Amino acid sequence: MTIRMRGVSRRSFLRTGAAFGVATGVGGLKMPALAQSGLGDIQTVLDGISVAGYVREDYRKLYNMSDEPLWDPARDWIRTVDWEKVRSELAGTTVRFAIGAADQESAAEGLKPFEALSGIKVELVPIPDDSIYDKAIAEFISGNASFDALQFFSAWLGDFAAPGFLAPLDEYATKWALPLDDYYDTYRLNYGYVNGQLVGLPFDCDIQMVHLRKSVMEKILGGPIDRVTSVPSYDELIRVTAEANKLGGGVAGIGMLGARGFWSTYTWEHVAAQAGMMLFDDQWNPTLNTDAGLKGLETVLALSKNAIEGVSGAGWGENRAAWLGGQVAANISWQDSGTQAMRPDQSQIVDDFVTIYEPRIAGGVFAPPNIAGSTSVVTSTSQNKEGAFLMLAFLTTSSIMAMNEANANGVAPGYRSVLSNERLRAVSQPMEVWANSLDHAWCSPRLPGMFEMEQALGNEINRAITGQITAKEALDNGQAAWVKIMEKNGFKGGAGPINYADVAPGLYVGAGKPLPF
Amino acid sequence: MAKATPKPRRRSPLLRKAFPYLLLTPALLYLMAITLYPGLFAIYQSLFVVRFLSWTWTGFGNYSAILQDREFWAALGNTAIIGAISLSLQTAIALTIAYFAYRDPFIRGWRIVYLMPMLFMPSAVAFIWKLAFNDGRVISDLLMSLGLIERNVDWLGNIWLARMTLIVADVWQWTPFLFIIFVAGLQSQDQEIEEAARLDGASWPAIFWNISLPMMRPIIVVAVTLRGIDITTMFTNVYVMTQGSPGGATETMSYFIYRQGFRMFNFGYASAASVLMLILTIVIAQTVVKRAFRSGKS
Repeated sequence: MTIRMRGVSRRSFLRTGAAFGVATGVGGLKMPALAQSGLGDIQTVLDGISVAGYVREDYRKLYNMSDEPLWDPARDWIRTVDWEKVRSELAGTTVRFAIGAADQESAAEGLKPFEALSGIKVELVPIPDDSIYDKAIAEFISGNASFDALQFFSAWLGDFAAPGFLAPLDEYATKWALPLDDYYDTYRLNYGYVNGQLVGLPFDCDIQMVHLRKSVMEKILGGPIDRVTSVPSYDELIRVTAEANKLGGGVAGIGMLGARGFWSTYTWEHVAAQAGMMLFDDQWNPTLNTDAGLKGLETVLALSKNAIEGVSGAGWGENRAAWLGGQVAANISWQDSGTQAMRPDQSQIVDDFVTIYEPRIAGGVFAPPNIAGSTSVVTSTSQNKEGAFLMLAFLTTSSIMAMNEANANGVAPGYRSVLSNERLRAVSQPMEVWANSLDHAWCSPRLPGMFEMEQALGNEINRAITGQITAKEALDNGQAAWVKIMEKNGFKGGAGPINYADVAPGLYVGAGKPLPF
Repeated sequence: MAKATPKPRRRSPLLRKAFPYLLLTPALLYLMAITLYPGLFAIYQSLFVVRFLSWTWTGFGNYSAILQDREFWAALGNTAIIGAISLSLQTAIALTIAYFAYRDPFIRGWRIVYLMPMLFMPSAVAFIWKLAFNDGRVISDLLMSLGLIERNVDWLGNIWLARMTLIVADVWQWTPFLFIIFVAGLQSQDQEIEEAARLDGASWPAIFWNISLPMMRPIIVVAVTLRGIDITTMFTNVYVMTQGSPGGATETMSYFIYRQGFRMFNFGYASAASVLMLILTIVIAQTVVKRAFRSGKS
C-alpha cells in the first residue's frame, strides 16, 4: 500500500528530500565565499588590535603608555598575512580549540578579531586546567579528538608528538609566511620542532631567572644592586641569602621550587646547567650524576637551608605567593615573577626588586635556563588543520604576545622583535636581562617520557631537600629511573624515537658566544 | 450459588526455576558493568606495558617491577603508618565520646553535631585543613598566640608533621562514623546486665570495660574493618593537602596508583599496583574479621 500525503507519495517525498539534501550539501561547499561577503573591513579590525584596546587601562595609566605599538609591525604576522586570501580559502569553516576552563572567557573575547579577520568560526572546548594533560591524552588515544588545536605545557611535546598525535605544520608555516626566524632559537627549536618537523608554535616563552629584593639585599651588599657584579656566583647567592635569613622580620633568605615532581627537577636543572650539566650524552645515556649535576644539587641543598619554610612543598603557586607577598629576599623562578612584581594589584614589592643576570658556577657556563613554557599544536585528526594553524598563528602573533606581557598575565613572548622593544621593556623590568640571556639559553629536550622522567627525578631531589637521602643518592636513583623510563619509550643502544642530532642544537644555544655583559 | 474459585495459574517448572535469576539479572548486569568489567580489565591491563596506543605483553613484568619499586613499598608503608595511627585515634576517640554520649540524654539529643564533619565534602575539608596548616598558617598562628611555639612551623618540611596533618584531617572528619556505630551498639545492649553489675557495686568505667566493651566486640570489629578499608584508599586529603610531600612521606597507595596512572600514564603498572592493593586489602580484612569472630565464639 502506498501512503499518500496531499498527493505526495512517501517514496517521492523521500526522493525529493534526498535531492534537497544533496543540493544543500553541494551548496554548503560554496558557503565560504558567501560567508566572507558579510565580514568586516580588515584594516579596521587590525587597528583595533592595539595597546589601547588590549592592555589594561590601569596599567596604561600607571606607565603612561601611549598607543604606540609594543612590537615591530613589520614582524607582526597578523599585519603581514593576506587576510583576503585566508577568507577566500577558509571563511565559513570551524575550528575547535581546547583551552583551560579558566581561560575560556578571555579566549573567546580574544578570538573575536580572528573570526572577523578570517571568517573562520572558533568553538572553544573548555578543559579543567589541572587535568588538561589527562583529558588531552584520553582524547588523543580515542583516535577522534574533539578539538583541532590545543595549547599545553611544552614538556609534553615529545609525549604528544612521538605517537603521531600532532599534525606537521611546516607546509602551512611556509604558505602563510610565519616569521619563525623572529623567535629566539631556544623557543623555536624546543617548543616547535620534533625530529626536524615543525609540530608546534611557541606560546608561553619562559625562562627562569634570579630576582633580588632591594630593601634586603642592598643592606647586605652595602649598596645598590648591580645586575652583573653584585651576585656573580651561586656561592655568593648562598652567602647573601644566609645573611638575609638572619635578618628576620618575616622575610626568609630565598624562595624556590622544591616540591615533589617536576618542580624540584626544574630548580636543579636551572642551577646544574650553570655548572655545565647536560642531561644526556649523544647516545641518549642520561648523565645526571656527573660532577656538574652533583654540584648543581649540592648548591640547591645549600640554598634550601636559607629558604622559606614550606620550600619542600613549594610549586609555582606557593613560590609566587611568597615572592609577591614579600616573604623572601631572593627568588629563583620565572621571568614573569619579575613582571608581575611590578604590578601593584599583584604585588607587595613594587619597585623593591631587581632581576639579575644568572649567577655563575666556577668551571661551568653561562646558561640561563629555558624551562617549562607552553606550546600550541594542531591535532593530526583535525578536520581543519589549516584553519587551526591560522588561529594559533593569530594567538601567538607578536603584537598579541607583547600585550600579554604588558598585561603581566604570565604568557611571555619569545620574539626578538618584541623583547627588544624599548616601550615594552619600560613596563617589564626583567626584559632586558631576559632578552640578553636568551642567546645562551639551556633547555631540556622534549622527549617522549620526559614529563615522567622529570617527575621521577624530582621525587628523588625532593627527598634530598627533606634530608632523607644525599645529593649523590638522589641523582643515582634519578638516573636509574630515567634509564628505565627511556627504555620503555623506545630509547636503547643510542637510538630512539627522537634523533639526538636533531635535538642537540637546541639544548644549549650559547656555545662559543661572547657573554652579553 | 457459590462461585467457583479460579484455579491459580501455574508457571512452567522452567520459568519457576529461571524466575529468581531473571529478577537478579538487572542488578547483576549493572554490577558487571561498573565493577566486574573494570576489575577484569584492570587485571588484563596489568599484564601489559601500556604507552598510550601501544600495548606490549609483559606477563607478570609489571608485578615484578612493582615489588622492586622503592616508591611502592614506601607508599605501602605510609599507608600502613598513617592508617594505623589514624584508625587507632579514631577508634579511641569515638569509643570515649560514645561512652559519655549514649547514657546522657542531653548529649544524645545533640548527636547530630558530632556527625557534622562527616557530612562535609571531603575535598572541601581537605582544602580547609590545607589552609589551616600550610597556606593560611592558621594553626601556627594559633600555637604562637598561645605561646607554644616561637615561629611558623613548616608542616610540610618534616616527615612526621606532614603525616600528622593528614591524620588530624582524617580523624576530624571520620571519627563520627565510628562514633555513631558505637553509640548504636551501646544502646542496643541489654540494660539489665549493666543494672545487675551496678547492683553488685561495679563502677561505670568497670562496667564499660568489662561488660559493655566485650559485648561490643563484633560491632567494633566490623566498624573498624570498614573504616580501615576506607583508610587504605585515602586519596583526597593527600591530593589536596600534600601531594605526597615531603619526599614521598605522605604518599599513600591510592595516590601512588593515581600518580602512575594519571600523571605518568603507566596504565599497566598502575593496574598491577591496584590489583596488588586489592589482594592485600582483602587478605587483611578477611584475616581481621575471621580472627575477631573466631575468638569471639570461643
